[in-house]
Amino acid sequence: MSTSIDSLIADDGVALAQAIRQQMISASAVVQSTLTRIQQYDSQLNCFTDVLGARAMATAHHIDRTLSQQGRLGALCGVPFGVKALFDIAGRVTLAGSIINRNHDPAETDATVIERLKQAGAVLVGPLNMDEYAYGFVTENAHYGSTHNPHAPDHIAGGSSGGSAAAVAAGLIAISLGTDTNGSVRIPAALCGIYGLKPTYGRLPRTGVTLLAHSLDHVGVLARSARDLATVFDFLQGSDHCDPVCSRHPPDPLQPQLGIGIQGLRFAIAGGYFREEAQAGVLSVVDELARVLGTNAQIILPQSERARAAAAVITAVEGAKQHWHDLQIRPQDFDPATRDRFLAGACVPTAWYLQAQQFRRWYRDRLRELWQHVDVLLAPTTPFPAPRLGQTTITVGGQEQVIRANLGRFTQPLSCVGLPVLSVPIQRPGQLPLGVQLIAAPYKESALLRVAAHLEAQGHIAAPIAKLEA
Amino acid sequence: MIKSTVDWLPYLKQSLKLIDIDAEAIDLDAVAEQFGQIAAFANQVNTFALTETLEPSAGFEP
Repeated sequence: MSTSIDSLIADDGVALAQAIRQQMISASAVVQSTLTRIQQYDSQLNCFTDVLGARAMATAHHIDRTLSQQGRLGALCGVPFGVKALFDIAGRVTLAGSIINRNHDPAETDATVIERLKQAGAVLVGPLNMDEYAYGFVTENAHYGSTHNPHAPDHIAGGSSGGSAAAVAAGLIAISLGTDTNGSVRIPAALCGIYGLKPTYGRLPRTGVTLLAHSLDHVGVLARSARDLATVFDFLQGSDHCDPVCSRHPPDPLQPQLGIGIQGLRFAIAGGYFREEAQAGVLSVVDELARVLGTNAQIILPQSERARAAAAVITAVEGAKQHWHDLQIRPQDFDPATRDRFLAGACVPTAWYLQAQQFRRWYRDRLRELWQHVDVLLAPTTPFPAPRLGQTTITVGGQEQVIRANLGRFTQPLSCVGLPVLSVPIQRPGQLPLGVQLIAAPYKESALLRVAAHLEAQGHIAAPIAKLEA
Repeated sequence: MIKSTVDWLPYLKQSLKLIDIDAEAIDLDAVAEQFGQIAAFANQVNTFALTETLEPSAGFEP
């Protein structure tokens, strides 16, 4: 790879697209370099479940031809991207981390969000590893193997969008898409040291996405800069008549708002539940960002532990419903870690599920009141940094915790009510990265991106490419 | 209140049979462990007194 491509890839997707549009470098060279980098490093990381090399090169050549003929191309022209393996890719079977789906027919069309990124000029490189059917926080997949954390390959990347996070953190691709039901974009983003945006529920279209829990699933974006997130989000937002859940809320372009700064925004730290059962270092990075933003005030989000519980019950029931038929005819073909929870979910009494949905609305209404006093809340993304692969428990405050169940402690209550949340990356020299959640009122993604751009410009948050062993 | 000491195995065996899932080849102890965790979560939610009624829509408006 030439030095110029190296330095461009080390920047971000928007910079790369600018260089391609100005014909400083060709899209073909960028995609070829991306494929080489994937070939070189993915055997140790296991981010991709498939690489669409020929298709990506054909797209890149088309971009170069268009540019040479003075054609107009989008803001992401030539930028390589990947998607969690549950987004439909035309002509490919959507495996969603399973072997069961191998019997399915190939998708006829791309998922709406893929289609929109392609319209922006981005180049799809391939599907990315995940927990089976997105039901997990670790990306230790029994069928396709574990995804390794680029910052420490013997540690997990997090999940369920683990391949999406690790591929971006390793600089294999500039941007990726994931889904977040209970934290599956934010958790791997935090553990891999990159940005992960889970927008408001219904904000981004889910047409062509294999769902885990229909009333909780969100499409999210992972990237290494605030402007990449904003650019991708701007291309993805907007109603989708094929998706009954997709909001008709008017699009709110984020890119023009990145430079506004944080003036007028009110900040606070999420207190109580969000300060409990976390390692000390996790809370100190939250406090440090809060200090930079000029606050040490804490606000209690009432009954957040119950909100997490409600999310867990709803996920189990809706997830089981999604896979009912396969549980009946071929339970042995599921990843055991997923199957046991789906089977348990299939047996949950209806009254438990309805109570959880009812509680969810109570919690949402309490949080709506809270936004009268604050614009952006800060909370940890995970209670601890990335554990080792295969590790099952971890000590927090002298107590042993089960890792799989507790990674979502701080993310689940927030997605349960569909709030927009951005996990921003905190790099710690000599230690694994952490994430801090910036949380806003529904449809206020702009506040989150303004804060992220400000913190990034001041040098408080960053997502440099992880140093990989050749 | 859901009792925390319940042995869920008989309930699970019966429930899976009722919904036509063949549990013969499955480690039901592992399923029971997962069900116990869900029951503990459900217990937290069920012990909270709610006065609001459930909204009739199938979706969720944040």
